[in-house]
Amino acid sequence: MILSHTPTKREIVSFVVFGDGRYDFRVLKAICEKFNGAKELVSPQLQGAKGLTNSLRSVAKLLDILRINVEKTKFVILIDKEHIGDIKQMKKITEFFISESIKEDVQKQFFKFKILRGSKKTTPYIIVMGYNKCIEENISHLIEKNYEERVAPTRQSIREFLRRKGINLEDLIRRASQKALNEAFGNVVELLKEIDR
Amino acid sequence: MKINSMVAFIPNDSNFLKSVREKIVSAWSTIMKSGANVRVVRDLISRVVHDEFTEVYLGANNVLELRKELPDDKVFWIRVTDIGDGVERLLISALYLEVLRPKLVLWDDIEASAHPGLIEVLIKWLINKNWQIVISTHSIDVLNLLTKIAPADTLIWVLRSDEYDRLNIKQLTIDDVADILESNIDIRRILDQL
Repeated sequence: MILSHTPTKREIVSFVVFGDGRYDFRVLKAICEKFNGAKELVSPQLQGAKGLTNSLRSVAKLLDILRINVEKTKFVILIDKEHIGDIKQMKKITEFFISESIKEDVQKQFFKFKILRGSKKTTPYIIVMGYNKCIEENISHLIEKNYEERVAPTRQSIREFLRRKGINLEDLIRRASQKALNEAFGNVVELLKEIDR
Repeated sequence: MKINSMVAFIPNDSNFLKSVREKIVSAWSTIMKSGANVRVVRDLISRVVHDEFTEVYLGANNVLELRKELPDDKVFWIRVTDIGDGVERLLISALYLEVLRPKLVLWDDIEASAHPGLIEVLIKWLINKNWQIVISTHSIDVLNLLTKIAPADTLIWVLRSDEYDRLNIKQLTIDDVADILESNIDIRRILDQL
């Protein structure tokens, strides 16, 4: 499975919008590569969407303009926890869509919706990154599981660790065991399994 | 749509610019009589380089030079080639258009050798003239600028080839493109799905 900015000739299973876009794109891209198969996720953003409302706006516009089977192709928002709180925040979705249901899958750690926009019905997902704040917490957790070393969940500390090990973020994920990945990025792994079906 | 007389095509091609430059040199007295050497510098070049040049002149060895007046009444000449490729391309193309005064301008890859500030000035200059313009671009900066400037009667054609090499065209308005960009979508990445 691959994640790209521009579609190739592969089967597109999902359009992805990133709420921030700092590490998120790189992390998801590296995790996708650990899944076999020729399917594709596409992120056609100009830059990180900066927040839940802007992310929802991007998804709404994509739904309006894309000539695709929206029941088959999923829409995913990947966003840091600091930008959303709990299921009550998800009511923002009604600014852009008619919401038929909002379901928090606590076990799989993402939100799943059934929405209507115009005549289009689809099921977007929102994956929340971070335990308290942001994706750096997941990365820090992965480092601990893989290297048994505690690194503060900040960009600077992670950067210093990677530099010291002579690797980059993608290497960290590629070399991670499946168990470590499931623990640190469980929601991403579960979502990819779900959309790969 | 009625097209009268001339159509001017500006390709992204250094050989073309070289040949236009030679024609400009041979037609220099016509250019000077028309005042194009002053107008183009005043209305276009001085706005791109943020410097007060008064005109372009054909100096020794047919070198194009820009004239700058200094506060102490002294005059300073700068070779156009010393300012940059983008400015030189712009100057030569603009002089070519000012002399020809075509009814239709076709400009290929308008963003080539040009930073966004230069493109903005160029687009504003082009739309203030009495000709129709067709530009081609791959640049998100050009799309952003077009939605910002929003010239009247602008249409945007999205061209793409399918697997049988057939050219498909989708027509959008400036407002359509503005909405897409404001939703943080890079329209160039979803052409096949539009």
